[in-house]
Amino acid sequence: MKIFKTICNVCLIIFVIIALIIDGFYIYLKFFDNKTTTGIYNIDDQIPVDLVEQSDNLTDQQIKELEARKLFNVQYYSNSVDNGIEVQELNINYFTDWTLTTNAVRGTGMQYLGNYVPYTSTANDVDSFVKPDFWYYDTTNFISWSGGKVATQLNRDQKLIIKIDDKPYRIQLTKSWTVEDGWWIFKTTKYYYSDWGDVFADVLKAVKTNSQGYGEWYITLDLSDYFTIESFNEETKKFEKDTTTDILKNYATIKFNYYENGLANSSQSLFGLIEGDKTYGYQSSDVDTTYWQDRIVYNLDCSYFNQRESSVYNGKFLSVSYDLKEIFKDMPRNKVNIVIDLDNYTDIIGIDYNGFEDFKIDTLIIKSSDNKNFYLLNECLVNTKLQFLKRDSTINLVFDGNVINSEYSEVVL
Amino acid sequence: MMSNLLLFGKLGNAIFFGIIVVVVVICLILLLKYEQSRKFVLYIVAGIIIISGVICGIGAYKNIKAESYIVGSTNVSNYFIQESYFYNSSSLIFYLNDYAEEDQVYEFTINSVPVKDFNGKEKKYDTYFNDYILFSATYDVGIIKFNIPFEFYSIENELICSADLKGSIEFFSDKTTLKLSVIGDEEQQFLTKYFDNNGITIKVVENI
Repeated sequence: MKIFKTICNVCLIIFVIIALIIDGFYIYLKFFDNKTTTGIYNIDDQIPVDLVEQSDNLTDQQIKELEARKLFNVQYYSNSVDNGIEVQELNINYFTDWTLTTNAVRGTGMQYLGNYVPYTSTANDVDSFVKPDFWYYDTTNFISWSGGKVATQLNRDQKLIIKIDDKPYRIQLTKSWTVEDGWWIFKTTKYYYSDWGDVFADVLKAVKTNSQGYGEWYITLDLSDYFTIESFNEETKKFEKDTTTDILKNYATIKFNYYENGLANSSQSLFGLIEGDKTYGYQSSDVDTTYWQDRIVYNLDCSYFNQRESSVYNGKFLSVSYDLKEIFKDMPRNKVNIVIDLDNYTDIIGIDYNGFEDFKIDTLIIKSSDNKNFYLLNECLVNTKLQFLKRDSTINLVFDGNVINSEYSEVVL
Repeated sequence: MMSNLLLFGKLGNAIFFGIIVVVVVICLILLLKYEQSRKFVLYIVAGIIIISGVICGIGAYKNIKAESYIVGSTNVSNYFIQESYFYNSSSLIFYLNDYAEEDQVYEFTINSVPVKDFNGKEKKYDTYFNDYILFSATYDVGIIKFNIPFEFYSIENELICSADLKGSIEFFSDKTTLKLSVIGDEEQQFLTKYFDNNGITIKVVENI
């Protein structure tokens, strides 16, 4: 028993000596070793990792919005030309869990009417304090936004999950500083804590001072002072802070739209809302702009069509190519007018067999200053749904076979 | 944000820690008076040293292993120059140009990043407006011009408004400028409604 006790005591002494050596070594490393390590986090796009797989379940607008996600998207209507109101908006894009999938995307918006100037406020609970000067909005689908009390109120407690290199990280606003006043033992210390209003003001300041001026641009901001960043441990499924690296920096690319104009109505807002009002800026007008259908008008001349030389008729016949038909099939709300000016295209004498078949035409105009025959060969206007055929009085239409299968109006110009 | 927390300052802190030190020292002196408690104190001190050694060991290991690192990257080239022009927005508002020669000229202008190697004379391009190909677009060395005739129909299929949307895309060395304009108040109101409903996407694709 005594031997065992002695062995234990000797071991204890050995452990204590080893521990003291390690303590000393650690103190040396901490205070005397000049080795400095730096960790840099570059925060780029916040596109969900499964966007490609999910693209079939999303609308085109959603895909565009998700592809454009940066940590911060900013919009600033400066109203420099005094034609609207000054509005500053910051959209913060993040995820609600570490999967970084489409189902976990979230956007929170801050909106300020005017030019926000940061100020120091006093609050007892600094971590839950929310700057009351802003309108806050939320979205999960990037089509519709909602604001008011139910929206995420950004404060220092908010931990936002973001994506770097397709891996989850978490950021939190932690910037604070102290200001000392007085002398020696009478010195007092004031503790200052930044809030999201300070972040907002600094980001907008960066936008206002960008070298490119007005327009749609990108800048990279150093957010190291504002945000503490934590990496995700796959094994423990927890976020962990890097306490070893001496200097930690995080930089974020932000996208912004900086306008010289003022904002005229809520449709220009990133959130489709101004002070929570989607009708903001829409005044009742004498013009009723309600319409059923819009159409884009295409006025095509002979240069758009194929031309076939005919030795029998001694001239060229027009026909529409397969490629052009396919292009117009993909543009459903168009209106096609065709102008055949025989003064400019003197060798054109008509439209070929099945020439414009299945090609939807609203108006066909045939012009010439000289008297000419214009041949419409068999089925050349079948399934065109032609509405108007306009021709100069000098044009003599020669129908060869069953030219058209729908009613149309013929107008002599 | 400033906290109301104004402690006693340096004086308060010094008194607080001083009291703790005094209490600990008194306790140790009292314990050292007896043989048994001396041993107990020694074991406690040894335990604390070993625990601190373990903690410092972990810290030292992390310090030795620590290396500088960079996580993620920003593909800067894509943000400051684009291969081909692309503009997208969910709405568009025209502003009245007070200085235009004609009356009621409404305009929209936006700058974006420059486009790499645009040359409308030597290369062929297709310009798309909301998936419509603009056949009538004209291409010059550093500019594309186009005119888009719109027609709006009522539910009776009657034409209620026609509007010509004129546009240009100017390719400068440091920016690309998109300009759109329309003449007439009614026309701009219909087009604004159209953009509210459909958004706007303009892209220029090289036709190889």
